Amino acid sequence: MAGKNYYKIIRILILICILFSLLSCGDERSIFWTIIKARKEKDNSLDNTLSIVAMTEDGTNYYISAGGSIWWQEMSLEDDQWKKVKFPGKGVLCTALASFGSSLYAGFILDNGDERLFTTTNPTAKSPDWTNVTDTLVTDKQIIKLMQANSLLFISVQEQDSNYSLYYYNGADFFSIHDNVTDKSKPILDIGWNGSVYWTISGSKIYELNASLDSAVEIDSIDSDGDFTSVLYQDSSGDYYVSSEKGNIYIYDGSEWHYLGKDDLVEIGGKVVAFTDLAEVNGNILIGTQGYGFFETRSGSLDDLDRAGEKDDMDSILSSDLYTSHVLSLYETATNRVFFCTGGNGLYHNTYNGEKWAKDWIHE
Amino acid sequence: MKNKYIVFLVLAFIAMTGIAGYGDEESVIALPGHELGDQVFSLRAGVILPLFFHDFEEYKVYSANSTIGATGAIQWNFYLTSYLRLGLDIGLAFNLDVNANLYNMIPITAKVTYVISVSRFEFPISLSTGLNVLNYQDIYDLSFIIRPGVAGYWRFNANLSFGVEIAYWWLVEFPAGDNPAVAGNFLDISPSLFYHF
Repeated sequence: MAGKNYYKIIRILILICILFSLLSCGDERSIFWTIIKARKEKDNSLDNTLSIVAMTEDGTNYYISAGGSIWWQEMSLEDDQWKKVKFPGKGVLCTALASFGSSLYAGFILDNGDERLFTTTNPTAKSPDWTNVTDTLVTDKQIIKLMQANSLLFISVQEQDSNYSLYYYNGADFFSIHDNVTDKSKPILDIGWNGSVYWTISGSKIYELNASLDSAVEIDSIDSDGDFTSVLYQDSSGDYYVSSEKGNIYIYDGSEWHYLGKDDLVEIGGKVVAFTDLAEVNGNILIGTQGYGFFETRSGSLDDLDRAGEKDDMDSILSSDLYTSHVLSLYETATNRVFFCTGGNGLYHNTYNGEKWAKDWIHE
Repeated sequence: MKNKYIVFLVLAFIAMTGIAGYGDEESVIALPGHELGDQVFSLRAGVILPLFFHDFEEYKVYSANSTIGATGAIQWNFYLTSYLRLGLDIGLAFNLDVNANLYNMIPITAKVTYVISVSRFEFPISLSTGLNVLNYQDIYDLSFIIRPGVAGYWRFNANLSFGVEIAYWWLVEFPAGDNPAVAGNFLDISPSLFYHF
């Protein structure tokens, strides 16, 4: 009889051990704790279902291109309403946007299908004075992206023969860039400048251009696991960061490459995470993703690559749609504010003070 | 006029409770009581009110930070004696957080119920315990759950009962990381349907 009781106690103890093993084998993040920490997003006036394809600023206002329109908000007013910029005609769609000099430049598809680059110096006026840029280098070509680097405006276009090219504007004239800057089949999506050379990415290739932009060579010392999506030069470390659409981040420190590796791609739920864009805020390297919000590496090391939400100061993002958004691009400002331009979830922003993110995520 | 009204109410009450042999063949009073081997299957659906959270580090109480949600469950029981039954309860509940993100819970519990019968009415007092599967965004976790409850049922006939169950959910989550263990407190109010066989 005593033996039977002994076995009963052993069974109960085993059951209790199994129960507690089960209870403690879950996620490192606590669901209830996350819900306690969740903060209601502050929501400004912008439509939360917009896809933000481009963002820029002119020192006074922010501008975004979304849903074919351009919107603006005064930079000094945190909760300023977003207002639409009036276009140079009806049925016009904006495809790219950048501020350069004292003007706003926008790629448009006109109602008759023509593709044009326009510029204005007074975009917030009731009737902005839009000027059609008539230089043949950028006329009747779809403007894919407008980018600024080293006080030049770079124009990534698709030619009428479907090839992709890159041009630049120095404030006075437009110029072609050496043919070797692209393999023609993939658009140039980003450009980085380290003070002496430029890096551009096109498909799965990286090109280095000299300062005068008349020579370009392909950097073939790295194999990509897919097309590159963004390039970033970090002043403080002198490193180039390059993101790929197949779960890899590459860092070039001036002499050699460091990367996550083919066998260690970033995956979530068995799916490789597509990285979309890179930005730096106060030493924190941010990496936008397709469907998983963003990642960050505060130490600059790939061993310390965390998805937003996995650090203590990021609890509140777990309750935000940004956590599962497709981040199309990241836009950092001089005030350490970062805008997260999403596909279909509107525009978010927050500020990183060098140690942590502010608690409130603003949904514009 | 007032007296007539009172007489009518008394007669209605007598009719409803079956004291006058109302529907003799259908009345539970004509049925034998529950006994070992009798089984009950039930469905319930209702609302779940998030009350508050508290942690086990600083023993602070936190706002539930959630909306009222919905809950439902299926339950199977068998009688051990005429007033005690034992069973399994599998539920589903979901609520929304402050930003309208869904979180859901699937409690799988063993349930012991003491049934107090008064005429056509039954008042079960129950205690469930088991595991609860939690999901929020891409996080999955298990928690421990204790769920005491009371209910009131009216036996429509030998096979069917209707009523309402009110249960308190106390769920304790032990995360594997640095976050403290946290208990969630919820109140579940669910109209239920019982099938006796």
